[in-house]
Amino acid sequence: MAIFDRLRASGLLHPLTRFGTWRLEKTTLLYSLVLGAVAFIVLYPLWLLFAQAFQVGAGTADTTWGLDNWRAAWTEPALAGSLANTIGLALTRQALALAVGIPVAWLIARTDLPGRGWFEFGFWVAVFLPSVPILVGWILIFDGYNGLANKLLEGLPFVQRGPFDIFSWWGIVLTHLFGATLGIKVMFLAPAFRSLDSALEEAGRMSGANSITTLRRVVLPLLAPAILVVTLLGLIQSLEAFEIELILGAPAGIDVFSTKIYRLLREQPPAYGSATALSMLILFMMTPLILFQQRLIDRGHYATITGKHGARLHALGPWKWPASAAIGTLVVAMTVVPSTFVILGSFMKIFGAFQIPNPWTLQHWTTVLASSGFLSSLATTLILAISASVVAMSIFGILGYITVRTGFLGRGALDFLTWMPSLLPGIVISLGLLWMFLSTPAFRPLYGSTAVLVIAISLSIMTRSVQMVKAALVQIGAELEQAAWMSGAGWWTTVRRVIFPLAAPTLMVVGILAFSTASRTASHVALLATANNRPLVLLQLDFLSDGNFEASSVVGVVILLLTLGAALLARALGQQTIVRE
Amino acid sequence: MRQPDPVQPTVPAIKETAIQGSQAAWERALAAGRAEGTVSVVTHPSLQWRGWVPIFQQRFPEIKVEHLGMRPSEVTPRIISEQRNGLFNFDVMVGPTSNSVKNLSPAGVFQDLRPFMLSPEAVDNAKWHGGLEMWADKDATYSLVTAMTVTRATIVNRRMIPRGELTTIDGLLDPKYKGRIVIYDPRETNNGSLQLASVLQNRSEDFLRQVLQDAVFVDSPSQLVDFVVSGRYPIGIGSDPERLEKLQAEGLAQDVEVTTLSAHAAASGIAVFQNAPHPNAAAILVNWFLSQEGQEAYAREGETATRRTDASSYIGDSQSYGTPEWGNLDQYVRANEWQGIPLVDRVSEIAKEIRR
Repeated sequence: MAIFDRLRASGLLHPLTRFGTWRLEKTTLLYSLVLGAVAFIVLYPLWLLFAQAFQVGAGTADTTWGLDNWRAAWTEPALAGSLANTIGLALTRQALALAVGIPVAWLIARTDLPGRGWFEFGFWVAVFLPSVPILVGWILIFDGYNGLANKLLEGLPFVQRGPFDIFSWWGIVLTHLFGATLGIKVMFLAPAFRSLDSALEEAGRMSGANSITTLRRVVLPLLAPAILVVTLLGLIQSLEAFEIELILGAPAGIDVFSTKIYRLLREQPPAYGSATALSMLILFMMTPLILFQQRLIDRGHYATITGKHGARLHALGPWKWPASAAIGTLVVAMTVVPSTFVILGSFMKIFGAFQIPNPWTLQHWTTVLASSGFLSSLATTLILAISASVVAMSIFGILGYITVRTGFLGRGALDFLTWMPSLLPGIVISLGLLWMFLSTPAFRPLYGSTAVLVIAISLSIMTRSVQMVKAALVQIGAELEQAAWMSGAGWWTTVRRVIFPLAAPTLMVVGILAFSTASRTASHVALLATANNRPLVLLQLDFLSDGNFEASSVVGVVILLLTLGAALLARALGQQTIVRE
Repeated sequence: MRQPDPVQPTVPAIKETAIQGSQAAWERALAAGRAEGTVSVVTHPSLQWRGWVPIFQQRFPEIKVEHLGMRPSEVTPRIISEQRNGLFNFDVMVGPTSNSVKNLSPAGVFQDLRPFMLSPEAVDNAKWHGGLEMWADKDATYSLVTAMTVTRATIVNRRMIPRGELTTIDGLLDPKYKGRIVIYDPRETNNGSLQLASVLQNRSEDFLRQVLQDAVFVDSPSQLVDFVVSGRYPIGIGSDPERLEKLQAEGLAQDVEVTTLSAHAAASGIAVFQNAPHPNAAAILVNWFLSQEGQEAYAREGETATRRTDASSYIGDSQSYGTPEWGNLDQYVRANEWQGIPLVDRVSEIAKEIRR
């Protein structure tokens, strides 16, 4: 049997080598079942939410059908202005993050930059840091009225008034940028750069191009899928982010789309119908971009890991130390400064009040560690985070594999489905899941169990995990699998011995991100947790409800330490694997 | 200056028979509740409403307490969805009464509380300020008010505005304070809209519109306190009293005054869910909670006060919280009860119109 027949029979068929014929085979059936399962778990809660958006007076005895929720949503005050703010903020953040993130990822992955390993880890840490305590720290420094930075500058004879005001449009942009927005770009793009065959860059240079031209004309086009995916993920995250916008934007009169949805959900009773209707706008806005990304990946050829893969590092020469100093400063500003705030803050009587006599205390740590639910919450968080990592690396890895490495006809639909859970706010999805578990007899016995939380958390990480795996797999040349087949390897052996090792760096990042997200996500589990399985993040919210910001920060530090521990472990395992290979 | 209230709630239904209690029925419930062995209770997650739970657990070790702290935005869709799908997981709810009155009672998730009020000591009418039967819902059936505090959350930085100035609510319209007022976003139900309901009750819609016109809205009461303390905005409506008291206890924010420009009465209460899975254990919890012991634990652990005349007040010397004048409750906006909720809703509507 010819190699292509064997490939087709297994379903292991690169998009570029499709044959156009289709027949019901074992793998096709298997992939169809996977598609059906994903469709059910994604679309059914969305359908329930969509239907509820047409219910007027939902939650009362007088429920009827109508368009009131949609009318209320689309006639929200100043909707156009908030939409313009949202798009402006999102595009600015993504443009700046890409402009900085791409060169930084390239320097870390492709050059002999001193300290590159630790810098990369530093960007991971920036992604893991809890956003609200960090924000409070930044406000202490950059408050336009009495921030430390302005005070320092105003001490100079020629400065009348300090220039900084974090309660502003640029304050929102830079706070996001110095948090997860830039960090996640580097976290994702560095492995993609690392997978690039250095022969391609060398060919560029031998043709007379300098480093910048090679980066622009050779490297970036090859990494287009990875860059596009990380940009789309960033855009979606920008559309949904609301905490920083609420705190920094409200005093400056800057309203965004997500804060409108958030306010609808805080109404009494919560306006879930209108919030769902408004969320549909995100779906409409993102659909063309998702389809464009699918088309780009489907039509192009982006394999950068081939049978002749080389990974020589580019020597920076005299630029080595200046570049290292610049990135080191950035990493310190993004990680050491805010981490210090968060950790010190958890030992302070009042977060950030350095001016009081004896500002230090262990009381908040004692309160948290002695609270009755702490240990069980810690256990639940560990179960959720580890399960999420496993699901992200295995199940979502397989979904990514099916969408880019097989000729399965439904792979486009499968890919589109994996985007859906991130297009609605977590608390809205959580309500859809609540209804799904309550109304589906097969799921009903699971209601109240930790398995339900695992499913909810898995949905929250589905988009990012699948898309990251997908972008990594696109980089792996088809000839590697074909060579394995020619050598007589089966499907599983090929995946285990060829695909998995090559995709391992990305899978590790996917797993760590899943761990971090699962430890910190409250919205997806808030409606589903019970007295017996409340994760730490809900305990954190309980302390916030008490106005005990410091104890809440303690829980934030515990979650941060858990995630850092997992990241260090993954990093150590990754290095051991590299040494063995 | 005062105009008629824009919202005139109707008078609630009056039950014909007073609750008496029965020692025999109470003892039967005790035995049956202990046999059930479990009670499932939902509270607001703040310490004020959940602090008493471990005390009940110590008092009745043979009854396992399954406690879940949930915010109103979470508890409402969850309980309604569960009950509509035939799932009745919870017995008792304790928390601020506004969510019960506005959302949960109309959805029919509670049952009549009266049959659960059994212990003669718990239901002794003389032991309750304002009498035992003070109901938050208009049907006088589901949500019993067990505690009420007067909250003052309008604060002024006296370093920026001297004490002789801004002494009455009318001062808020003084042109020199234009753009210097910060309000906890009154488009939602929170301390901002609750305080402004008092302004609306004592003045007029036009007055309220003028106050809101040039004010800055923020989404966090702690942020509001920080803004007033720093002087960025010297007048704050809808503060976070705990945050302010914490700062003042450490010697900070000494120039910030908690004013009497506005105040609202905040009620908390207890209710029992439809088809409670452990009805007798629920009865034990309800009667213990209404007893002197229960209310003392509630007040002590939550650092608050209750309506029980024989329970101590743990409010201390707080400027932000106080006990109401029980004989003259009509002077307050009763923001979490059927009387005051329409007024609070009206404030939110006006705020939305202003920001449209």
